[in-house]
Amino acid sequence: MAGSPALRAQARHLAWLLLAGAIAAAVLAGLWRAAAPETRTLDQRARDVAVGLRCPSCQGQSVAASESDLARQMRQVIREQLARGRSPGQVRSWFAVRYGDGVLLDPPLHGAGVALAVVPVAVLACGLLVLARAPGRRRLALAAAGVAAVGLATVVAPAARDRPDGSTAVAPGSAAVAPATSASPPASLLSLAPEQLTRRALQALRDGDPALAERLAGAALGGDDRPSAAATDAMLVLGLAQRARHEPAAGDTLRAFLAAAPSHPAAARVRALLAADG
Amino acid sequence: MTARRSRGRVAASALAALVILGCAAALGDAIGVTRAPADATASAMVGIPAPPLSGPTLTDRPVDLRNLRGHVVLVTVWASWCPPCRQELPVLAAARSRLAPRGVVFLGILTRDQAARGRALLREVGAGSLTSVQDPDGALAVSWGATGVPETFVVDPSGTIRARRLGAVTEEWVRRYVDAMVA
Repeated sequence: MAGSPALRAQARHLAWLLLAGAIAAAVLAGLWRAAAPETRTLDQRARDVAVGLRCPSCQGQSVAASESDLARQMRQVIREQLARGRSPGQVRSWFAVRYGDGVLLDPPLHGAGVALAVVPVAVLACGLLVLARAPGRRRLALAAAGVAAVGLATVVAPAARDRPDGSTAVAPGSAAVAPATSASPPASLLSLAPEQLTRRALQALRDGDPALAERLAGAALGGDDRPSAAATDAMLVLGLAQRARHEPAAGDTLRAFLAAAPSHPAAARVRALLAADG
Repeated sequence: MTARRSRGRVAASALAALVILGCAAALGDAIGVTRAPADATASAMVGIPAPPLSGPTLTDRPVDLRNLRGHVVLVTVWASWCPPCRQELPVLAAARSRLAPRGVVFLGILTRDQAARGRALLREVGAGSLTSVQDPDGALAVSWGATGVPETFVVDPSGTIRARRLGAVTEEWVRRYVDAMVA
């Protein structure tokens, strides 16, 4: 079954040629992509910048994906700045100065982030070393496995990066939304004071995201039902979020709010809402 | 042969260590170790020159922050639809009565709101003297890096932002960050 040594050598030669061709195609594709920005429209460039910025008033959404007022205004600012001739990097820096590096979905590297950048390069170098030292027959198999791994990483990495944008965990009305009572707010918010959590909850409610508002207000309230101003505000936002999601608990929460803060500026409106709900 | 096998083991161990390190870094990234925390926003802008702030006030008079150099200026981003702002405005009005004679200027940015509604709330809470710039589309608030309302900045006489607060200010906060600058 085995062919002649000449045929085997030819097959090996062809395989190497194919491998070299694949690498050359990848390099050319990369160069083409790098050169492409000049030909893209303002809208496309603005969207690219927006995809790389975190919406500061939302959780897990980019400026491109969020429908909040703030994200909408940020998109407008991105467009205006690009139209005035600023580079995408300058626009990103402009936002980083104002909102901190946390606004960048791909922040400057520091700490463990450095390892994230260095390790793939080191692994690649080790792989090439192993490849160079491998016996002739194994070399081809190892090279093919390496190309397959790089290909897989190319497909998987962008998908993983897109996850925050496409997340439905907090999308309004989504069946994927976990019950508010069991969901906890994102870890990055746990360190916030109850007042800040309530404020974010109110913002989420205004932005049309009652599920997130409910989670945040619930966290702000915690197990503390003492009649403090912060607790009653959190109770109010929680009740309104529950009402927006048509939850039966909404009435009880809003009545508890009225009992705790009968002279709250929003009390009259809450009474009107409860009366309207029957 | 033994030496080659040994080198191979060393290389394999190094590769495994790198992969483990990579996984740990990726995990750290996923749980937010390498991300700036949400509170980092509070320290952004502090220590840098204040962004431009000019436009018509709620009574359509022009105002420009550049003309206020030499004064400590407290800039507050607010809106009539924001309950914490309603609580904060009387605090600001009281602070203004106390600190205006010492040269402190209070300047609001009424964001994503209508001037008439802003004026009505100021009257209602007894803060009618707070000068505010109109920012109907929210562009000014974004240029100041505001993530919501209310948010407050203290600008020193040279035009540099010295303090920033997310959420409603308290009298204690004003005394700590503004009084200290005009002492």
